Amino acid sequence: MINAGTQAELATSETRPMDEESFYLLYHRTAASLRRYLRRMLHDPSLADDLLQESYLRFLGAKLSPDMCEDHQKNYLFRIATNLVRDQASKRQALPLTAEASSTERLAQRVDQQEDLRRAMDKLKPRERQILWLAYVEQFDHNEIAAIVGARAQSIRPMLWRARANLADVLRSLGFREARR
Amino acid sequence: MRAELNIFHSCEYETALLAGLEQGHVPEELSRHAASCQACADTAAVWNYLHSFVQDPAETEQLPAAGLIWWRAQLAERRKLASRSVASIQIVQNAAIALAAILAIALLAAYSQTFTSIPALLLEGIAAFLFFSVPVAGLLYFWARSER
Repeated sequence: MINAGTQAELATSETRPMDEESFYLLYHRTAASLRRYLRRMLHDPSLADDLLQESYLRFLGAKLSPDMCEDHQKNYLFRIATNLVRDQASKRQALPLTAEASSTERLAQRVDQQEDLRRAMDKLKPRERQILWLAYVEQFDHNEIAAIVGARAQSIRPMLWRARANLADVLRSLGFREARR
Repeated sequence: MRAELNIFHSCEYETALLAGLEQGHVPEELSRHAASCQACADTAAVWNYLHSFVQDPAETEQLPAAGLIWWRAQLAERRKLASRSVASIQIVQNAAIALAAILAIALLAAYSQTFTSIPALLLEGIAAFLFFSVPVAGLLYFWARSER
């Protein structure tokens, strides 16, 4: 759970802010996965990098206790990032999926198809994208996902199930052929 | 494995399938099952799709420097403190202006009536000064304590 633990840890926040070394450790532990998440939600690498930096700035600005455990730190960061993505989404509309194939050039068509596949997640609702990524890639549990996206923990299970079914449908329609590792 | 707890299981083999995907090896039997099970096929497709981004070479681009973010955070903190100091100076300035205005009005009122009311005017001035300066001083004191 994120809330109870975080609140307790916040209690000591005013006295000892995070030191530089602790921040570097946190950054190296979490930055790559947080950027992947932001990139999948935004499809704009430079914006994702901007929001990545903003997430850490807000994290540091919150002056959380250095005693906060690693899992809570990561949860808190993802929660900040999710809020930033939500703010961005309200500012600009998501890019549409390009469904039209270009006329003759095969190469261009293939690029389009790959791009369509990359953007398959855009067919889903923002929250579905978020919970799928948080569950399947970041492996957060239901309570953690609920805290990050701001939903009830009980609703995550059916939402996740629906999101998975929806994405699978989109992938099938785009001809995604899974390559099992 | 935490992934086992995450997914809405509609097939009893999904946990094993996810475990296999995480470990990088899905047993032949499970692969055959997934081919005929909609829930497992969906799980495998979604898992593979999402993890294709994790393995994407584009994702290994250099991250923004941690030092730069730390420096920006320190700068933002200093700016915040500076703006608070400016705000407190502003409060004192406003209080001083208000006090001066009240005193000026009181003086004008007193001189316009008679020169005999000077002692009363002095008392009024002191009262007005205390009325405004004590709350301001109190505010500044508690603000300074909260900063520490």
